[in-house]
Amino acid sequence: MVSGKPSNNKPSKFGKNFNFILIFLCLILVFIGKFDLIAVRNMKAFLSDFLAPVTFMFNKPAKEIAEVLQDVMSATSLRDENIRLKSEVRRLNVLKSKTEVQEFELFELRELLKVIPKNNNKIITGRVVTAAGGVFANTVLIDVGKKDGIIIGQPAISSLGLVGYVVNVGVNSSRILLIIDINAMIPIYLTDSNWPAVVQGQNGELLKIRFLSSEANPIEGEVLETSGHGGQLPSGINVGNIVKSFSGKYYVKPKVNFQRITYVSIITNFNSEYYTKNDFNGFAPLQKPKPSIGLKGINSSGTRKTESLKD
Amino acid sequence: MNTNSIFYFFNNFSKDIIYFVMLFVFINIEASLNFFLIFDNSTPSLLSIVIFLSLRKFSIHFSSLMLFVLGILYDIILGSNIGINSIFFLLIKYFTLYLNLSFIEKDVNDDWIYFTFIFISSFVITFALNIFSNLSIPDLSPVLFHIGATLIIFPLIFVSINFIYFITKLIKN
Repeated sequence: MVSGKPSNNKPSKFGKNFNFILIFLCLILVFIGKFDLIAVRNMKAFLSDFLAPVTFMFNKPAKEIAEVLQDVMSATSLRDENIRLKSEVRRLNVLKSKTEVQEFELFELRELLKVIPKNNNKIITGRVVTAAGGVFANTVLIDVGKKDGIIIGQPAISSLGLVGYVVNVGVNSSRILLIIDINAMIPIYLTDSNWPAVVQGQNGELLKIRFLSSEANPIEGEVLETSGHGGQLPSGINVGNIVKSFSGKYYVKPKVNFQRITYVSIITNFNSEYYTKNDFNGFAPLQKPKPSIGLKGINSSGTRKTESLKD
Repeated sequence: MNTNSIFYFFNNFSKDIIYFVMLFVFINIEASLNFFLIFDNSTPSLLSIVIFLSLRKFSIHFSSLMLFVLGILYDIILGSNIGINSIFFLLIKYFTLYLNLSFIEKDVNDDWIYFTFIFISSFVITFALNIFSNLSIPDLSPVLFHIGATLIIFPLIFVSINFIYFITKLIKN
């Protein structure tokens, strides 16, 4: 049987020492890599470009098989899915009619206030070549690069929200650091209470909330958007929702399912130079007034409220 | 004599090339496993199983330089810190060749225990190094899944290889 005695083919003392030398060299490489030297970055970009077609060739069949398996699994729950989708359509129809009215109102108010119109985002979409997961890193490689106008630092989004940002660019490929990676830190604000904070990835499913004011009271399910602080990312991109753990701590569940991303869009016309000017103070959402404790029918000054007929 | 040495060199070189391609294919298979729903969190370490079995059971001696280069390529494919996976592969090789656990009885099938010890030791060292380089502790659930899945897959692969060996022997006879 194969499970016989272990191999006696042991290498010489030189081999043992050589092994140690290589381990030491790797240790040096790990710390050189952390310094983010241009030479290392260029080498990584070149090798990523070189390996991208090979990786794609291996990943394509695995991806196809995984999709077929997922389809087969979802076929068993088609009836439930159909009922769920019907109720979703009804809910969305109601929302659509409300949104149309609000959109018109918003347009009128913008006209009245002479608000500077937002620049339309110029985006370039690329196909994801590698899978997202990894124990030590969470990045994806996409098949657009320097020749398509991608530069380091540009934000990557999907139809659901923020995916990450570009950390390395080759001629034909770029690497995106996902927001779930431990090295990713995104400035955000809580959309209900407008408190700013920073979310940090943990190499897992959830993101950690950092630098949130002790006065803030996050609500479960509250939506988080990018604040634009620091000028690296534009404001208003959906990041995720707040979830509460068993221990009572608050975390963020990203909107995007990183295992299922096939295409990623890069915002290429986000002018970070404008935001790095000294006079820019970042996105500062207005604080909502604190809810005052009062009795029903009596206002904050203590007098009885009289509701007009017009209201 | 000279012709023999050249022939020997080319023989070794061609073997190394084949091993390199084989391990590179395994690297890509391991990376692509992440597309499957079951390995959403993280993938099992197929490479460590392959290196362990090749060194211990099939007497295939991978050169350290080859493992170093493969680790670098794997880091580039995954986008992790350059050198992390090289250290992991080299530690697996080192422990497989030199580790001798005297407390394990040789009569019983000790490979699984050996592999568990070697894999966990190598992984803990690499993981600690990663924490030190990032200066923050990651979520442990993908890490534990990675370790658990690898340790579950190892006996499955091992039994499958034994089964194939048994069938081929049976056919030969």
